[in-house]
Amino acid sequence: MSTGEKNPKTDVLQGTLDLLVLKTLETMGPLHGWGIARRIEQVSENALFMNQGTLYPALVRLEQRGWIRSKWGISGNQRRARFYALTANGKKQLHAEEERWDRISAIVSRIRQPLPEEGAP
Amino acid sequence: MIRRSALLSRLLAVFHKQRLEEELDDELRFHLQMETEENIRRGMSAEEAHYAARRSFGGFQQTREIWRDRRYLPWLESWVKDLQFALRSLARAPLFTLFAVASLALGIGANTALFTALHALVLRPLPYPQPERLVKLWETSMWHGQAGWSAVSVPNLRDWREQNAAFGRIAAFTRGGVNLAGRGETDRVSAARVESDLFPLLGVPPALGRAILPDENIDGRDRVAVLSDGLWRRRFGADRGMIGRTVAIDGAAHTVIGVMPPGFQFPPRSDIEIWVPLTFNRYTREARGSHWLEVVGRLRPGVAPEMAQRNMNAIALRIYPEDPTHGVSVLPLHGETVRATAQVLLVLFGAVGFVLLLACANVAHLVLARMGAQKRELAVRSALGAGRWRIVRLLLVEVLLLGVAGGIAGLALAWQSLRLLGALAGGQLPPGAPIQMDATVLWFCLVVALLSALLAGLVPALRNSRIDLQSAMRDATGSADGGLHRSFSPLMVCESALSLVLVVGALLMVRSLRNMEHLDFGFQPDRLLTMKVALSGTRTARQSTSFYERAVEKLYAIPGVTGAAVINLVPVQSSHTGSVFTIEGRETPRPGNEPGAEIRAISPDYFRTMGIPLIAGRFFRPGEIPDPGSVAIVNRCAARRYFSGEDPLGKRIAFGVGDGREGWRTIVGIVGNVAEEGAQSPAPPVIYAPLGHPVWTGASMSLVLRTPRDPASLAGAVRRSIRELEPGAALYLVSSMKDVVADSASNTRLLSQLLTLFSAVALVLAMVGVYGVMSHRVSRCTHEIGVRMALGAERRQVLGMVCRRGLWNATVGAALGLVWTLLTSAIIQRYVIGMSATNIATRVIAVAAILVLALAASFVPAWRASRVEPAVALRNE
Repeated sequence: MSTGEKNPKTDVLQGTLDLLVLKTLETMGPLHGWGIARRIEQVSENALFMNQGTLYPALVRLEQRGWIRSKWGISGNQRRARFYALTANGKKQLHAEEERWDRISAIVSRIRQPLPEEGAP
Repeated sequence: MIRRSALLSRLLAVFHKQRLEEELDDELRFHLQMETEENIRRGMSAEEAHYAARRSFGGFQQTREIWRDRRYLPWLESWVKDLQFALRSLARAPLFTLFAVASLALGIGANTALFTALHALVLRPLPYPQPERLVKLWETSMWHGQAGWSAVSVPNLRDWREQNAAFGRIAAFTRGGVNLAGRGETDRVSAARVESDLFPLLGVPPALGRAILPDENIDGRDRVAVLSDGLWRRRFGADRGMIGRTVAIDGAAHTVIGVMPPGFQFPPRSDIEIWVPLTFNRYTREARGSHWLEVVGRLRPGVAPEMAQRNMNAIALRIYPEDPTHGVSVLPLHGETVRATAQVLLVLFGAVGFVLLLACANVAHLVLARMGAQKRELAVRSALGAGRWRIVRLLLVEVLLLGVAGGIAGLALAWQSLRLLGALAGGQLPPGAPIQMDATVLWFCLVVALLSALLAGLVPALRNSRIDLQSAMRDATGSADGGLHRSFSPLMVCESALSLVLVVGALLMVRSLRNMEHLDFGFQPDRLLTMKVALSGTRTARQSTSFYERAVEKLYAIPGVTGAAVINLVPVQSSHTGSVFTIEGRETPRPGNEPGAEIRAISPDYFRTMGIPLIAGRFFRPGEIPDPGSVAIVNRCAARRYFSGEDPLGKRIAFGVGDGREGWRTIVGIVGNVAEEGAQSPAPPVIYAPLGHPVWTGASMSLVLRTPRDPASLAGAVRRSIRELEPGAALYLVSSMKDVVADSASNTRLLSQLLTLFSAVALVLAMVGVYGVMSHRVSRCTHEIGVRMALGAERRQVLGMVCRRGLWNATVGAALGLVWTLLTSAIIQRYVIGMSATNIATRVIAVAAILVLALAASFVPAWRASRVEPAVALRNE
């Protein structure tokens, strides 16, 4: 990607890849690997870089855990592609991950910015 | 952490790898195409778009690798790969594989077989609840100057029971045999007389009926019997209606009150099948000096054997305040039961352990030798990036495979050899303990197999993992570790040492057996028949005497009988009376230091029949009575020990001491010593009295018959004669004296047979091992030999050089082995007959054997080395 060289890109944060993939599948419905990568990059406005060497093994792992399932189908441009979809278990997992993420980010931001209520009289 | 479903999915994935990989490739290709198209849409040329897509994708192959690690179980897979590699390489070397597996199978098989026996006979807990709390109690005291232990008298038992604080219960019993009358013949069945407390003490109730009640331990109410399950099935067809019926035991009707569950034994590991009440009469109840009871106890919870020991010693001191040498020994029943068996089996275990070590050393040799050949292959792997552990693992997988194969073959071998062991050991093994393989044995076999494999493989693996890449790639025939002159080979030394130890052990046993044949037992065991006769019912000594006197007369009427006599205890069977006596005119000895002797009641022809020589005086005359005031004969040992410097003839002695002393009897003869307790024990002092003495003439006596024919051929006629005289008499333990003598050395025989077998196996293993090392060495030094010969070495010199190397290692090994045999000679002395376990000649023969074998095993490789053509050897790089 030519744009890649202009903006410094962040690798997907350790441990958040699951969340991103599951969330993407929840919003977009069944999607192939490339679609997932593109979607994440687009939504992050190309700030996140999806390494394929991470994405495909991650998809295998999520499938092994029963959070997503895959099926071969025909893509929009009439090619055979493997589509991934969220399972009921995956949905549960997604919500758990989201909650956890919210909690952590709340904590992190609270630590980073001294709370105005405390400082103000 | 891998979840189970994920693990399963990854495991299963291995089986359709090809489809999965194709799918991944499709998926990645699709990804690339999408990326390319996207790039084209952004305005790149097709080619540019393609390369940009490839660039952004990153390493195709790397992605695949990471994906694979995720998709399958990479560690398992690499083990599987190693396994396949090992299988292939073993299949390529069938001879190596066959020999390695056979070596291990021999070692593992012998160990497994022996462990099976050890497990069944020694380790298995006794078949009672909480068996570890059961103990055996003996009285201990000084007995004519020596510390000894003895059975327990009734008054002492009573005091122990009343005063102890250590035992929940204690119970006395005696062993013996009874005549069980049934259809046709009267059977002799092993029986125990027991106190009623015994069954609750053991904690095993009868399967059928009830156990003995306390008031049945009283004379007159004791006509009840408890049967073993085996006897009940065999003799009474497992008839449940037997309870309440009567059977004739020793001619008296006894009511069957109970049948014990299958597998019940008491005493443990015995063949006893009937339990009847033990009763005490007026005499035994008060006779504190009459030691005849065996006693078991169950420790109270929380009481350790040592505490019980202290408690009992204090009681003994109260009983014998004047003699502090009295005590009580409290020993675990299990240990008491299995001690003798355990000793033999441990000696054998030492032997088979050595065989296994030899097998391991051999396999280590073979692996090392083969690795020389594989060096180039391993170096290639190493060069391609295989780490040290990866290479070690490869070799370990190979030896583990050998170990597992050896273990399986060994298990089969053990299964077969258990039958052999049963046949060899025969009556030697304790009865009623089935030797079976079970889960414990299988675990043992597995562990031994894996450990041997590791032992055999670890050293070569570690050594060969340090591969010098350059030199290994350059030439496969390098003499990196030393060449011909490097003469020390630890493995060869170990093999020689181990086989020497086994050979010495086997030689000692074989020579002991041969010594047995020529051993002087003090009588002539050839052409002598012996048997026990038991009369039914109770008899007075007078009645028994008259029966046995008539019996002897009748036996003389049998054609071929040249001598016949009666005695209370036949020599060599190692039963004893352990009695004390008083010598007229001597000071009263301190308690515990009274003169002691074995006492034998005999009919007049006993010495002539047995062939025991008269040293001085005369034999008993017919008609001489056993009563006090009569006569006695002493053996040479008693004469030496108690009448040194005096002539015993004409001196007077009396059985018993102090208040229990009988009337005086005059010594009229001195006879030769007899090995009363078998060949391994020194002859004890013996006093002979004429048949009829009330203590030593009972309903059950032994007969001895001399004949010029085969003694066994007389048995039928003897049986008929005795039956005519007394139809209810039981004849048992009918055997030639030669067999009795042989049986007394059955431990030695068992050891000699098994040790011979094991040492033969050891020698073969060692020989093949030495041959293997030397051939390997020679083949690796072909180049060196070529150089030496090119420089003028003669073939003879090369031959000598290789042979010397083999001999040198064997000598060092033999020396180490010798030291070991000397250090452990005390253990084996118990089974050695007629010589010392440190015997020199045995060692000389063994060392010679080892050296000859080492020479023989090195000769073929040495000869091959001497045939090397220098030109060929030097060209052949």
